[in-house]
Amino acid sequence: MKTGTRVGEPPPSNNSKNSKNAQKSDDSRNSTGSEAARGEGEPPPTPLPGLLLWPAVLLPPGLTPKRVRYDRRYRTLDKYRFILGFLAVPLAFYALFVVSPFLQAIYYSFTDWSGGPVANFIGFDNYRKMWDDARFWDSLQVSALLLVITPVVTLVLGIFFAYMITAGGRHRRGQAIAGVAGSSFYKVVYFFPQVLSVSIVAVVWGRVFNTNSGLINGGLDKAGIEGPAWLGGDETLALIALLTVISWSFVGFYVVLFSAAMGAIPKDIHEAALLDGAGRARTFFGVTLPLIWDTVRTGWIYMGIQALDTFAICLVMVPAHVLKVTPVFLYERFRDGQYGYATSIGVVLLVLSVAFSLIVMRVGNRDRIEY
Amino acid sequence: MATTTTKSPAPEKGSAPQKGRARKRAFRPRTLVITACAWLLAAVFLAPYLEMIITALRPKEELRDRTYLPRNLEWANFIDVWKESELGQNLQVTLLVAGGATLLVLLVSLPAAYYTARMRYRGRKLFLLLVLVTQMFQPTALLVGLYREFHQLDMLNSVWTLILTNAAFNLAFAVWILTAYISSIPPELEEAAMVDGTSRFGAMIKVTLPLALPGVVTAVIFTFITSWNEFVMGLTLTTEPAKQPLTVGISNFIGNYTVQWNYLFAASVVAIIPVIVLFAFIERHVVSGLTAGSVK
Repeated sequence: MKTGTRVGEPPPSNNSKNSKNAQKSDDSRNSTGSEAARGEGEPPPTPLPGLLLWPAVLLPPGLTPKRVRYDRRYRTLDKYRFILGFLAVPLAFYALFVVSPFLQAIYYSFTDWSGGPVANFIGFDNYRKMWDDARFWDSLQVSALLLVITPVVTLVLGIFFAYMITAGGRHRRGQAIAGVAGSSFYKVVYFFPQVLSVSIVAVVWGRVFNTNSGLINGGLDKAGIEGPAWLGGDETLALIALLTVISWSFVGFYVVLFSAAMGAIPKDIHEAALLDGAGRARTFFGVTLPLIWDTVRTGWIYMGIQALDTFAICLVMVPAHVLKVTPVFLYERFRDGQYGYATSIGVVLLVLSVAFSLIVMRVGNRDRIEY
Repeated sequence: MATTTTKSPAPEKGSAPQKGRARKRAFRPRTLVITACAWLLAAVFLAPYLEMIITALRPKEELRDRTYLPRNLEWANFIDVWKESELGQNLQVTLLVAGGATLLVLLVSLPAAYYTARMRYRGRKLFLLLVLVTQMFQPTALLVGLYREFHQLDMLNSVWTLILTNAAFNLAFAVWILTAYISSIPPELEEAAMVDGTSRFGAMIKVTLPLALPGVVTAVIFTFITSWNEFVMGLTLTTEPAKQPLTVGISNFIGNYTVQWNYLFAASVVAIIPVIVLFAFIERHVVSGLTAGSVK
């Protein structure tokens, strides 16, 4: 409010500088900016008819007559004009490209739209079809496995690395607790897959998992083991491959996230634990983990949603006949022109991710520890 | 990872009693095992990049070899890939889309962030919440809705379509990080400038903006990188191979009967280079910026 009321006030003119400045500070002290607080040199403003105020919306403040400018209603108007100018464009963007497609998706999931001009309302038919569709359940099984396993694997790795980076080293730089050597290098190494495009990640790992010329089977070959066809037919192997790639590409984000959370814990708490004779593991489970639990829970929800939304990696890397996640199944329906059906799958995915978030919030709810 | 326990005692000067204690634990077998595991993990993390660069330099004849290093290096792959495929056009599309989206995001998000940081208006919390919540929307859920919108506008295959969607998707993060940055600049600086005779707008341009520059740079580069890497919308909103962004063009290679890995990875390396360069600039800011909202 303090600054809000002063929007649009002109720079003080030369002749009445002092009185204006006095008025300004008065205004800012008195947050309502009431007329009683005005300086003495100002004539009491006569109230304007409301209608005359409105054209002022279109005028820049410099051209607005003083009488109008000092009217309290103009202040409100001016504020909303600012909001309109500054916030309307981003909001319009949101409405057009994020909110509206989303609402449309919900509507079209109840229709049989297939690209033509007509979209008939067919009630819950799409959802019924999905319920009876074995392919959908197959894909959902894969997605559900990813939803359960990926966050655990990624978060455990992320927390471990973060702990090593922030508190793994002892007696470096004269401090009781410090990161291991080269911790910033590790952070960048882990984080880097985050800035790669998913399609490149998928393509590179597709080569790494390649049966004949891949890096992994090459290594197994050297060790005298016949490498399996990772992405060639077996569902479990393909799932392991998928899990590896997702964890590889997301773990860096969580390393950074958890390092920041651990860095926010006051050093003396760790030092106290150290003085009491706690080792690394004891310190971690007794002190660090409880203190960053809130962040871990947030990360768990994020990672779950990302796992459920695995799309490009599966589409590009894993052949469709081997294994499919639900978003890939959705995309195939989309490609076939079954738009109504595709959106209903999208809606189900969205409901699932919201449900997952709520469950994790409930399950992971602990008393917050303030420090 | 845990290398320090083995390495650090030797070069460290001073604090003799600590040195002795550290040496005692230095050669414990457990430490060695942990160190070995740590290096192995780091190798696993780096291996795909090496594989990509090496394959990009492999001559065609050696593609099916199981040797880790090719006998000859074929630098011409980096040139031939543009002749042999449509990737040149794809690169052009990606450049336009990433550049356009970044510009648009900057123009739209800066005023909004400035306003949100400086003013307390009704619905401010709601606005910030909206920004966060929409971040959580999955692109696959929006896919059909967006497709329908652009289908009706007859804008499929257009560069503008991708610019607009990318800008809309990145707006949230830009507004969020810029708001945080501008809020951290004391408003008294602006007030001082205004007392000295600048207009509010002038104060914003001449005082706040230069101070918020690191945040602006972060938002800009981040938007550029995400738009550069965007895949799902590029895949669904474009159908003609020549009008698709580079990421989609690269993934199209995989569907072919025989995958030309050398060209594929040469193109991937080219697609990654701008990202590496830009990321090097903002690494510190992104890392702190990403965590600004999530850690108290």
